[in-house]
Amino acid sequence: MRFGIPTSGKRVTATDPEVESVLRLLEPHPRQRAILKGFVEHETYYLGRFGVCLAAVTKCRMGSLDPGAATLATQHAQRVWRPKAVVMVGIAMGKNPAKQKIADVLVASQVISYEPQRVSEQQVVPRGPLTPASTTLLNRFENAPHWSFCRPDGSKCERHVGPLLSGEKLVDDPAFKAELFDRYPQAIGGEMEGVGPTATACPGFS
Amino acid sequence: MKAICDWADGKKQKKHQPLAAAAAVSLVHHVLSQADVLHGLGKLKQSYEESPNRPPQGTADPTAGLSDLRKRFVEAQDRFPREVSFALVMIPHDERQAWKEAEKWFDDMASGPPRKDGSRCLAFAGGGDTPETITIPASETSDGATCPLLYSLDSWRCWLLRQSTKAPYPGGALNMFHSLAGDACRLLELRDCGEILDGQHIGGKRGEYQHLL
Repeated sequence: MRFGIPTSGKRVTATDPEVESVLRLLEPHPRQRAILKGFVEHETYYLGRFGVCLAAVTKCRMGSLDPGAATLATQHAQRVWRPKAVVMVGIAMGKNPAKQKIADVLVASQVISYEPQRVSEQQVVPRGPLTPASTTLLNRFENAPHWSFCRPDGSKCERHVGPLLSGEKLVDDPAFKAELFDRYPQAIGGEMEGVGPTATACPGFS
Repeated sequence: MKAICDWADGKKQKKHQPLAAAAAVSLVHHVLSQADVLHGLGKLKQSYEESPNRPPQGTADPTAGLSDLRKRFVEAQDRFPREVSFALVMIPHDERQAWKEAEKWFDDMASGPPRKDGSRCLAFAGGGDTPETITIPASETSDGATCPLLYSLDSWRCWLLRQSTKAPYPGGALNMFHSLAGDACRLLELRDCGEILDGQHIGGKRGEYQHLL
């Protein structure tokens, strides 16, 4: 058990299917027989090897603002593990079923926080940041031509790279969704936790 | 890295969540399976050591960290009087006989019947050090060798013991045990990391033989 070694990567997930999917591919550390589960303060971590990287995996609450949600979970993990990279992996809503399919993967080149707004009588002005993803990580995920993942019907999932909307709302209203994508036409999808890692893992944060 | 599980069209359902999650994880796993994939990425700036919220563990002095850990073990013991007890044993490389005695004392309780004193082991954790990671400086070797030696340092271990088989099991004890065991691992990392003076690495002093409880 080697808590405290600098991990080279860290994954954050928010729902049970997400963390279960990660744990299925997480392997024990070198010279360990099992994945290690540990409690550090208020967080729970699973330690192992993901691909060739030593990884600390944690599951956060849905959203970015709650105690235990993505922002604080990422900050805590950074304090404890000093990772080289933070990758948030999980599920999202798609933008256009005509151009995308279920299980297509959205790689965020930017995270758009759609919650901050100036609301006046005449108009609503977005004030959220558009935080870019790490150039290096984005490069790695764009240069994976041999990746392949098939749906149960045998069709291959695709990868879409572009800005991803992020906010506290669990969107399930076509009108609200249309309003969001009208305001941010460049976005390729939306989710709820991306603001956390981008806020705490962006360059210059200390 | 998020995969599409619905269209937010008023018909949201969880049916596709496992498939979508598996797709996203698959891409991450594929990318992170390449050697040197994170080359070019430095450590993120904020570290545990630099954090103002970090509990006082004495980064510069491993002994101070161990003292703090000992205090926490005692507090854990006080929280569950007469029901469970926590123990941490660390054995340096030159006290292998002591380790055998400790193993004899603890290990046969894992699956066997309660001992005469009523205690049995509920869980243990260990494995902080491996032969590959321990270097004995030449100055500490007893055979006069002039080169540092790699030596097999037996693992430290933590035990959670329960003395009563009738009283209700305190569920919080196991969580506290895992927390203490995790912190013990971190302290062991500090134990032999040494320091760098004038560009030269000086090996740190390893922990002494500890029976915290």
